[in-house]
Amino acid sequence: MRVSLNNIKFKYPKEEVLFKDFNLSIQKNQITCLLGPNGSGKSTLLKLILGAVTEAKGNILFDDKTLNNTSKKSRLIGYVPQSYSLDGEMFVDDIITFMASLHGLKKNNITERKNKIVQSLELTTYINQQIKKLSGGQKQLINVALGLTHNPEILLLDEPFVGLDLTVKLNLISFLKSLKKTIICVTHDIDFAERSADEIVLLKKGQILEQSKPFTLIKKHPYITAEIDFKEGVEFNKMTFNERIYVSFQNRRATLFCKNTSLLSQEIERFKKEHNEFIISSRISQNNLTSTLMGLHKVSLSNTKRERKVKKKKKQ
Amino acid sequence: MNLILPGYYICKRTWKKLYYRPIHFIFSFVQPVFWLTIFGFLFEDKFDFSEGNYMTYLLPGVCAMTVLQTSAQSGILFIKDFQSNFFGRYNFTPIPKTTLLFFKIFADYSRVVLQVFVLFGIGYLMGVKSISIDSMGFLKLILSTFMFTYFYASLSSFIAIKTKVSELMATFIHLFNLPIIFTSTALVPNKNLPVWIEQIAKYNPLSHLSNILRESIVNTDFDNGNTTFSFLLLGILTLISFFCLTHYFKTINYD
Repeated sequence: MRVSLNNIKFKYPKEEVLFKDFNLSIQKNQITCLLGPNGSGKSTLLKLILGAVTEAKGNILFDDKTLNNTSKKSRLIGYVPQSYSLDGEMFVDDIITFMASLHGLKKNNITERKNKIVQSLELTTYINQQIKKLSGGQKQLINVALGLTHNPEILLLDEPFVGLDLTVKLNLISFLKSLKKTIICVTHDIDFAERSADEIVLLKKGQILEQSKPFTLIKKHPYITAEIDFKEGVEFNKMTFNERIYVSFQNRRATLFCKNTSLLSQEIERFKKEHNEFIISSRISQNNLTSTLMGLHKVSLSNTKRERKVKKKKKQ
Repeated sequence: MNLILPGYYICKRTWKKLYYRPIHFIFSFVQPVFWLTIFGFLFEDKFDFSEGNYMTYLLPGVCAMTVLQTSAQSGILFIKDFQSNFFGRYNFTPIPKTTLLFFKIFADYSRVVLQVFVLFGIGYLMGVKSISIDSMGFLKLILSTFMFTYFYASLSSFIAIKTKVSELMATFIHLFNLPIIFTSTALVPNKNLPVWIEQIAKYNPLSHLSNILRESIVNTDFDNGNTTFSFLLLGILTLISFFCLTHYFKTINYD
């Protein structure tokens, strides 16, 4: 099912406008990842689609139709919230049955659906356990399972991989891919977005910076990163870099972003000669989604700083 | 959408939670036994009855007090659901909010009925021999406890959903329950109450529940007043209380 958001206007009470004439179209039966820094509106976007945020203006269309009926909408959409939102006293079996019954499934269908979810997500071992006795990762799987109980057409996932170990995460990813449903996923897991998303929507302060396939996004912004680790006593404020290279410092590590590989290599060589006594190691990474996103983020930060400076100058 | 199956699972969840914390359930029987024992001894010879004795008068009153106490705790589950964020999940299911609330309170009501019948047995063992219940009396008991439970549990749930704080819920229980008990005819006959309390008792829903229960389960005439008026009053309070709760529940955004 295709989801379209048209001319959305929304603000939280006592806060700045988050979405202003916001438009987004999400293709059916695809995995769409919403990426962006904290506060960019990713989770709010899910809540808008879900109908949990009612103060918004504009249209949200499902296959070009508006759905004002909450009951129909909740049958259509499965939501996996960021927090576990589980009743710790209940047993896994009970909570899945409970939620399936609230979604209006008949008794036979509840059993059938429950068995399918339990098998697919490998929950068989803890089906008869009390939720409060499960680990964080296991609770997260139950959280995902509850979003799937009614076999929804659209699945909204808010950070579904938090707390999952690698094997469980890979199993969940392959399960999600096999569903062939419209999946909209808010995540900070860039690796998942690069490998599994059909489309990436990059958000910043309620605006779409980019919307494209991961591969296209990487090709469009071919940022390469280099990292340099320093010894103690290094003074970053005395270091200078080529203007075409964006740099961020954290602890004793400098991360450099640039679209030009040779320029970056030259700069590192120059840097090594000048500050060799402080450098422990340096490495250049390949162009991937992480480097692209970090580069875009850094550029966007620099632009904001520049804009602020210009504004200040104008005021003066 | 068939509402019976989800209704059953809503009730089952409430019952199971009670089963996981049996101390609450056990205590709900211990407390009435204390009341029967202590008030039974305290007021044994204080009142004159043309028929029967004080224990026979007290037993339906204690049953009514138990209905009050259990109904008052109805909102606690909602607060726990808020604390675990589980409450938000109701928002994303197609089940009508009225159905959800109806069955949640129905689970409490089923517990109330069980408590009342167990108390009859305890009362009988403690010497109340004039317990007698016919089909009409049974119907009156079922209906009056149903109304009172829905009235007071709705009020409790409203406060729980509105405040979301367990301390405020406890304050509600302690602040309201005792005054309601002591300004009713649950413990003391109408004619023995001070005049100003007698006026309050006339409109106190607990008095009306106690009077209906007295008429329903003991074959002793205690001047139970006009039970039609009692049912009418309880019915109106139930409708208002449940309507306010469902209306509020539908309007809040509880993501």
